[in-house]
Amino acid sequence: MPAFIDTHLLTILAVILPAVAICGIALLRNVQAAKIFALGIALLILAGALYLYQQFDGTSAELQFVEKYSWFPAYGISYFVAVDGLSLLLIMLTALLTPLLILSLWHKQHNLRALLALLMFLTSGMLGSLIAFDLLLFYIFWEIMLIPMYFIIGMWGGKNKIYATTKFFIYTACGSLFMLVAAITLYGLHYQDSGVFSANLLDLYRVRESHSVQYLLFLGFLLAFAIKIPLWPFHTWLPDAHTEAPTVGSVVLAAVLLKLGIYGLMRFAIPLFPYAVIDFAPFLLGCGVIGIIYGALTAWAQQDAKKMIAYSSVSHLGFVVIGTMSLSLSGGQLSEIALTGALYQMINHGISTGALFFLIGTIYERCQTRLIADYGGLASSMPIFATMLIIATLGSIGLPGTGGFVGEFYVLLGAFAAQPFVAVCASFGVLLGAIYMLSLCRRLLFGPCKNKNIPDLSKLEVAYLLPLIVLIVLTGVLPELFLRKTKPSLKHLARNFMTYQLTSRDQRIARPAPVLVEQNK
Amino acid sequence: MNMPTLGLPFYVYSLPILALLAGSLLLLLCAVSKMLRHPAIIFICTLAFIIAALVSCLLLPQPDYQVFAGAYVVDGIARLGQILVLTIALCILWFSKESHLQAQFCRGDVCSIFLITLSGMMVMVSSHNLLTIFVGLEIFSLGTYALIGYIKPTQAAQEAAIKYFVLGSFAAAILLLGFAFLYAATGTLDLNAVLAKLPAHDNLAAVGSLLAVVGLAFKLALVPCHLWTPDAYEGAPTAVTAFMATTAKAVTILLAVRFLNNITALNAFWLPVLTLFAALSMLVGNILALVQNSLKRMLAYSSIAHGGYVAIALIALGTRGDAQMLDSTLYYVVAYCVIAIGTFALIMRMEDATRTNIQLEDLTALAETHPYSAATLAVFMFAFAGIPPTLGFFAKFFVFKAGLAAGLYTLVIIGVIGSAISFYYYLRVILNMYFVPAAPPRAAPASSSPPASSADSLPPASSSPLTSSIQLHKAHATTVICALTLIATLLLGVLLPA
Repeated sequence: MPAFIDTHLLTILAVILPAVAICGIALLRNVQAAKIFALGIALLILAGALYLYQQFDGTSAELQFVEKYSWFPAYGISYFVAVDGLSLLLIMLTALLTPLLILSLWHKQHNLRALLALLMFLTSGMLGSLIAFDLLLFYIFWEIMLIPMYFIIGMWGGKNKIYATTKFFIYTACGSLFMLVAAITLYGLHYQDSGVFSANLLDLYRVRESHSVQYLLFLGFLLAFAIKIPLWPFHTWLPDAHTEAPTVGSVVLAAVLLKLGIYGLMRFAIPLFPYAVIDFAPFLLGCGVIGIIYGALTAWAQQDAKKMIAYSSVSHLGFVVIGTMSLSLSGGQLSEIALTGALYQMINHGISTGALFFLIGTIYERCQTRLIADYGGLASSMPIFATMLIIATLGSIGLPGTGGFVGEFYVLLGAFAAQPFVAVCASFGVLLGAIYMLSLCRRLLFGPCKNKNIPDLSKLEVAYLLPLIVLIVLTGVLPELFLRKTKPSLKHLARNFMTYQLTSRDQRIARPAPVLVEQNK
Repeated sequence: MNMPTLGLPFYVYSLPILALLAGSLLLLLCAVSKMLRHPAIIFICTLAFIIAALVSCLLLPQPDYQVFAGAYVVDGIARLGQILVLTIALCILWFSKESHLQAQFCRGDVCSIFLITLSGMMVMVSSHNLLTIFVGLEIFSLGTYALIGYIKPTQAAQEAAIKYFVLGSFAAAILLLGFAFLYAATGTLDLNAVLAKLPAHDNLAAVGSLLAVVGLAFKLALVPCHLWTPDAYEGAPTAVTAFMATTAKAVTILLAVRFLNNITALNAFWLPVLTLFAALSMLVGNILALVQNSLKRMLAYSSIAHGGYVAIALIALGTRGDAQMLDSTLYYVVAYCVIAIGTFALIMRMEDATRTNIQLEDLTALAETHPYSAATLAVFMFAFAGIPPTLGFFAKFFVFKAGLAAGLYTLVIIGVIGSAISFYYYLRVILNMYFVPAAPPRAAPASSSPPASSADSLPPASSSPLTSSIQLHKAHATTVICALTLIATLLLGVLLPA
């Protein structure tokens, strides 16, 4: 059994456990039992992810925990999952978030079982897209994420939910369709080159297309990822979706879903189409910078707390895009730093924005309003809330000592080497970020007290917020703890993205003996 | 094979069709007998003959067979077509029996026409001879016209029948003219021989192929020839709509596969036309579906759009035919039929004698009163839209793959744009079921006891369509079909038909 867990850990995490959870929730008529069951499974996923992290060999850029089964043999499509340094941290983040989300739903009654099942479905989609190394499999997981999110926003959302959820769905699904066409074309090109059908990403990395073909295919992939990120000017769905979504929806959206766009760039777009990336990089850097400034300015002007954080996401994700795209312009060491910064910034943004959405959710529950003007002086009535909000805010604006600082610093360092002008403009984003986020804090927490009688955070709320708050500080103080295991992969991508190849490790290093026995059977 | 030999093999291989014809004669006799006129008897009788045909179809000996120089063929396409037609017919018969159409549908004469129509379809897909193909096509078309207008002769149904009849006969004439031109150019009616003898640059043959393609496009409801579709779909009794949307479409596509594969020498003439038709269908079908309020009408436009997607595969097959492209075409046909039959089964379930044309508003809050039906319909809508875990996605994936492999980039991009548009109207169905709250203050007890309150709660056309007590019974057929879709999706690795 342990051998089975070792060899199938990723499938267990991404497919089997969520499926068990969904079945269990469907069968358990009792809401309380369903909640406990879902939480148990979510904790199991988290434990599995921690085990994965612990077993992960951080000295190699190889794919680990590989599972590969033929799916459509005639078409060369396989079920191929694995993990490497690029996806490791995002998997951890997703696994961490799931139990917190379930905890945050503990006292909500309306159709809770459906919501829990959808959350598990969503977790499966997110983890699946992070571990898939077959193009079709990735696309399937990628699209699967839409369905639960669509229902989460549509069924538990705010007043304008139907508009927001339809826009979200159509926007993202349209982008994905173009990716599908590009993916199929790439698959066809591989067939032309080698005479073998294969949707295996490792094989597709070897396809070397002409520049013009790369441009078109890259645009296909870029559209899907840019919408998901969301890169300016494809960001307009985000504020609507974020604002109308229930708290859990906003948190998942901010913490993981958006990151998958960047992950897609790193995993697919850059190594598959290096020439196109080099030629499009200035354009993308431009979009990133505009996103940073535009997002920040728009956030500044918002009256709605959730909308403000949504636009701040646009701004922050701009940084990540810049870090990712500096790769192609700055050489060697610095591009590695930029990439590291981008990856780290994704995690930080996930944690701090997730925490912010949770926090706004707690006061929304108490006062049923998202307008900043309706609040004031919360620091006196809700001191714990105030402390947490300030830490999350500081994490979001990147104060030294929080993870945001490390990420932004790395990104700007790399970007400066690539395009000093871009780095200078982006730095203004940091400044603007401090302005609007601190003003949000000031308007919510200080001034005349408008909400005297609202209770402070309950123990439960503290329980699901505390891990995130601790992580905000921990990521700032001990970045090496988190980045250690990702280094070889990032280095490999930064150095060799023009001729990117990945090798997969057939058996796991940690426990070779049982695995070999397993394989001999 | 010059001498016609009508030995035992012929009877064995044509047993499915013979069974249907025998059944239709017997049913006519039942219709005139007072004793046997009871719907239950008619139903069981029809069912027995369809099942007999289906079983004999499944048991057909393995080696392919042809007689009369290809006038009757049993090969892969024919087997698939026959099994598909009979299976769907079985479903349609079953859910019609359980619906408000029971009294009208389970009549000897209607069921007799139904069986004859089926036999026409089966002849059409099992022939290499242009003349036989045409005869099969006419039998099935005439049967369909009759079924539309005759089952329940409301004004809408009769209008639909007349419209379809007039336009359909016109199209059939064009198709026949095309066949005649091909015959004139090659001197043979056998499709295989046509391929061999076809001159590459012959005006007669070129015009013939064009006319034939236009005739097929009409049956497939590709855009310039689509005008009959929405009215026919909306006006026809839903059982017949389901019949038209699935079997009629499927056999036409199978015929098109067979036919277009054999006139590839004339690609230069008919491919551009079909390409244009496909592109227009995907755009016009999807755009017009956006503004429909009637579910059936929406599905009609959506079927036009799906015709366009299939046409991509057909064109790919014509450009560069290989086994995988054939597979993807057939796969699409099967997938579309599965999804469509499930959807129509659900629609039939929601209908009652007075509400025969479900509007999108009628679906409001369906999720609360009938969660399982709503979830099933949502799955079907996602499948139509081609969202991944469903069968519809794989179908669309294979079609796009075939199109790209054949270098039809523009067409595939148009297809993608079309699908993007289609998300909106498929989502509208789901929106109405799940997200839109019931407009009037909830008539809460209405949902708990449907039979008693269906009469009372008519004025506030609120919550879900309330159906009679047969409802429970009907859920069987639909759940089975839904489960089939899901299972088929999950077990896709093993499942690649033909």
